[in-house]
Amino acid sequence: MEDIEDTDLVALEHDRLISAVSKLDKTQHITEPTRNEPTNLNSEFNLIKRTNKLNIDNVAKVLEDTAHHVQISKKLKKTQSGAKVLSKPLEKPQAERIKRATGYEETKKKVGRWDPVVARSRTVDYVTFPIKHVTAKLEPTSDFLTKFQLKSELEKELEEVDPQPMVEDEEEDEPIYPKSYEEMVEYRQHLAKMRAQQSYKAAKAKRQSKIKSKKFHRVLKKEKLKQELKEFEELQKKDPEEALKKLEAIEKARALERHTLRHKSTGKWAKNKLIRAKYDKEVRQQLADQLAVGRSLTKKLQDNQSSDDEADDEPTPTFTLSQDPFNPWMVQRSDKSNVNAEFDFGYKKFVQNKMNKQKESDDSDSDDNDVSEKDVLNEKLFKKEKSPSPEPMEEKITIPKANKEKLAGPKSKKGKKAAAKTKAKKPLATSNWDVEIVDDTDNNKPKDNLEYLKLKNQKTRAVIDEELMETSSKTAEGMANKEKDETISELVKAAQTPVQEPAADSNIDPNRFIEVKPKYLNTALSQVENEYDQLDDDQVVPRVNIEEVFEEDDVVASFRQEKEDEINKDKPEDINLTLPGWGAWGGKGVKPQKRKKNRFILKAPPKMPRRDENKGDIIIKEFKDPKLAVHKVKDVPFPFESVKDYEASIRAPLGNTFIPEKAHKKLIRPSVITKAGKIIEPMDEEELLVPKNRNFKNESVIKLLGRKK
Amino acid sequence: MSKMKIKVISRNPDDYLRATKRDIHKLPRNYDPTLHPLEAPREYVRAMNAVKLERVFAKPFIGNLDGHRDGVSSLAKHPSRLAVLASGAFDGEIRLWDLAVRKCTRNFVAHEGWVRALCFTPKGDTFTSVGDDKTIKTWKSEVQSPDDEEPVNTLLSMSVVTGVTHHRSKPIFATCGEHCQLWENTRNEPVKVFKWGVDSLHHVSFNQVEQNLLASCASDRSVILYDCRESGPLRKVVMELRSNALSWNPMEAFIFTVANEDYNLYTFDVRKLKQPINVHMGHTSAVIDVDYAPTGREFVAGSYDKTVRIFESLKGNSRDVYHTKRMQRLTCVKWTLDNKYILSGSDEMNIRMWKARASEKLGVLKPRERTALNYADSLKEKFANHPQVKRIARHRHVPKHILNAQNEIRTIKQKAKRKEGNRRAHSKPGAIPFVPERQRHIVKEDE
Repeated sequence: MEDIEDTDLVALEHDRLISAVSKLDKTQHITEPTRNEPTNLNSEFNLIKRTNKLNIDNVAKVLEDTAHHVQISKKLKKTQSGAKVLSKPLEKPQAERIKRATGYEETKKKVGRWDPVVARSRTVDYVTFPIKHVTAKLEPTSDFLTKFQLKSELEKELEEVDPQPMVEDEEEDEPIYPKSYEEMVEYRQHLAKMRAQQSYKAAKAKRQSKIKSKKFHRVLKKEKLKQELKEFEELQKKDPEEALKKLEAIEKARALERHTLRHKSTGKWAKNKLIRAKYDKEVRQQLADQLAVGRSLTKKLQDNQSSDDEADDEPTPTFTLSQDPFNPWMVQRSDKSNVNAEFDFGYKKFVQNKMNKQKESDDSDSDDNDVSEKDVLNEKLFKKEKSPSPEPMEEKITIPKANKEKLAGPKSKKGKKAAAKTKAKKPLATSNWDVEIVDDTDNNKPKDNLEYLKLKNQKTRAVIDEELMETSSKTAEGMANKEKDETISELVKAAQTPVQEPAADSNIDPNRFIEVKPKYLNTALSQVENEYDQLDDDQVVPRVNIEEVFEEDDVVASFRQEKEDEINKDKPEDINLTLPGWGAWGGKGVKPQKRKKNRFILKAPPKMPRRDENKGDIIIKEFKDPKLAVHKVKDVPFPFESVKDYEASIRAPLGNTFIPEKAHKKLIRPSVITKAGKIIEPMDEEELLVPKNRNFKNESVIKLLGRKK
Repeated sequence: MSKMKIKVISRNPDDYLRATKRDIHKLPRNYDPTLHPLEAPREYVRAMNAVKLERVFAKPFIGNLDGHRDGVSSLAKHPSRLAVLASGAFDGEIRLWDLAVRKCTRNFVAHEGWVRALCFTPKGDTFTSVGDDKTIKTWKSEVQSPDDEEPVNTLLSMSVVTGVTHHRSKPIFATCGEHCQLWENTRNEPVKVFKWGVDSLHHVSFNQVEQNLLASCASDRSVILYDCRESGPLRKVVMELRSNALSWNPMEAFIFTVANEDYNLYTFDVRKLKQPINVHMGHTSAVIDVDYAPTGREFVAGSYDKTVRIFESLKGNSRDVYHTKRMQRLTCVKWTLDNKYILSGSDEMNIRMWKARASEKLGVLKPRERTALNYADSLKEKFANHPQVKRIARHRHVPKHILNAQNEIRTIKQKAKRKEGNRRAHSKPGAIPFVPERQRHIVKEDE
């Protein structure tokens, strides 16, 4: 029994011992994963989270003892101090976005090289395909002929004896040159540059995203605003119209800002501040500022011109401040000037500056009538605004700008009333929060691509961009018939037109042929030449009796006949509606009663006297021929701007009946010339180097193509 | 008064008679404009005649190539030989054609499932085909020995490949499917894989001018731009509906046109993807394929509405519409490299050949004939705006179903317009903005 107890005790103690021992070491024994085969993929699970950084100090300490190693230890320490830990790379999506953005910028730039080539090919009169630039220098005939040689007798005999082996001339492949050293270097440099750009951007993005300071962001926004302002001013100098548009955009941004409920005391921030405002003066101040911004935004736009006289008179009435000191609205009043000073930046400042300047210039104007350069520019701007079309003027009045007001300035000397009427608004989109420019309206306007044509083409052509008139075959039959009718009538008309149009030409009065001054179509030709013609005629044929000269073909009679026909054509006729046998006996030999017959005849209305009735031998057409109207153009087609231009283009003949052969050939040259059976290769990069492309300078076209969005 | 004598011009017969029968009539001309007061009306008559003749001779259909036993799925033009055409069908068969004699020169089954796309290498000695069986096969264009029947090279892809396009000068080609992949001829694995969070791409095309650019159409309604060198994907435009095909302008490096499901085609400038520079309308059903003319002035589009339309690249409406009774849904269109013909493959197993300009006279033209035709053309152009000329020149017969569809579309558009107008009239001014047509179809541009 004792033995058993003993053993039990031992076992128990042993167990306790073991547990105690095991308690000593609490760490879990999990072996670190180790890598035993080389791979370039590093799993994130294999990474050990432990710093086993070597402490160089310790190492150096050991070395310090010996004099020989002092240098080495120093060096070691130096390297240690100079080393910097690289920052964590950006998140992948962000990094990729940056990569894409830089790549796209690069591509945009690269693709832009083609602008002159494309602009040229679009605007040039005619293009020949395939585009290939072979030097068109021909060899002199003598040089060419020296290449051919007759074989001598000896050569012929030799050939017979020992025929030359046929040499197959192998087609030489174009050698593909590997990149030269310089090219390689250049390529690598380019790559490095790209990477650098990317890393700059990445670094910047990272840095900026980290910054929590509100002040920093405020400053950033201010800077942006300033930059924009600068651009705007520059733009105003360069392109006043663009500037106007930009101003409009700014105006819109301001409107949007107004429209939001920012700068009110309703936001979260404002509410928080409001709680603290009771106890903190600074906070009160901040709130007041905020509200001031809101007010300045929502303030009704005032008539600047009228306020000019009152100068700095504030239109808002001043209150006494004897109210609740905790009311931020009231607090604002007390340090109003302060607030204003603070918010005098950005567009508001700019506009105010301008206004001041304008005032000065006005003064100078009144003093001496010399017009400053700026005024000239303004005037130009004004004109530009006014000139294009009268129709959009109304719209423009609703968006008047400082410019306009400014423009009205010099005019106001003459008519103050008119100037006073042009209301001007202050564009003041400012504050310490983000003002995003709403898309530039000018860019969003869908500009037609056909503008290319408008810009520079010696040969203006009507541009028709309309749907095809599509009909199905069933309706087509009807159409075809109609068409046929029309075409026939057209043919007739076409044949007639030369006769009908110049009504003056048929006004020959046989009796007074020479005396009558002939009428001419309104051609672009001067009448003087015609008069000379007449003189010539006079000399050759002095006073001819027309009837005598044209004795065989009876002109006079035929003319009278024509007139007769014309009169008869228009004469209304009676309509006979009698039906023989209706209400009476009919048949052979039965005469219908005269009375009954007369009852069924519709009398034509009495004939109106013709205008040419007693005027001798002239025909006056009393009605316009409706068939002619079908052929007339209703409105001026697209690229033409006036009827005159279009008429001129129609009047200029193309046929070799009217103009010399050479001009004819030139005028009828098609705009795209291709060669049958020739493959047209896509545009080649060599085309960029061709002088005619390089020298193509039509800034407006190129700008239009490469216009930035 | 005695009888008067009128002076009459008398000429030397040598001046106006021709020496031989083949000689040109000598016509003495006096170009003095006072003697031609009616030149404009005369030219108008000539223009009318010219435009009528143009419509009389407008017979664009040349012929068809039949032989496929399933719908034609893809076409490829030989880069240096005009008469060679390769076509793939939905049953995996590829046929090579001689267009001059309109005969099939070679046919073989290349893939299981349909041949998704074909493309020739720039030299033209081989061509590559991709199919539903996830293989990319390269074939010889000409068979000299029986060995040439077999593919030169077969590459296996991990996923289905739906498009292929070849770099213009380098031995690189790109395929699309799950991702856009760049292959080199000598390697079995793609050299590069471009990913941009898109489920699948169905068309890819290399720019022929700016040779390292390529673009693809994705099934998430976007068009993606890539650079095949370091940068990879560049930018993405998401449209309202998906684009089916894309074609780069061969003369203008930065212009490309996409054929969209919403019946329209959109021309983009690479630098301004925010909105297309032009919207081309006219089709009455989804546009399936588009191809530029080698001159870059025009392009042809094939649609699901069984018509082929030709557009001028700067204009929004089509210049011409081709259809035949038997032609079914279009699957692919190509404009030949001599700018003369159009090839269209359709569902009903035929490849059709059309003239690019419907009334053009084929064959050799004598100089005088050419001059006459040029004169007629320029007259048509000069008087293009005269109502009668315009009416005749722009009149087309279309099948009834097209006409009905057009009417329907017109009604729908009018309805939308009216509704918008009403809403605008009854809401606060400015609440409903005027969105130009060009911006309406673009959802966003992704960086």
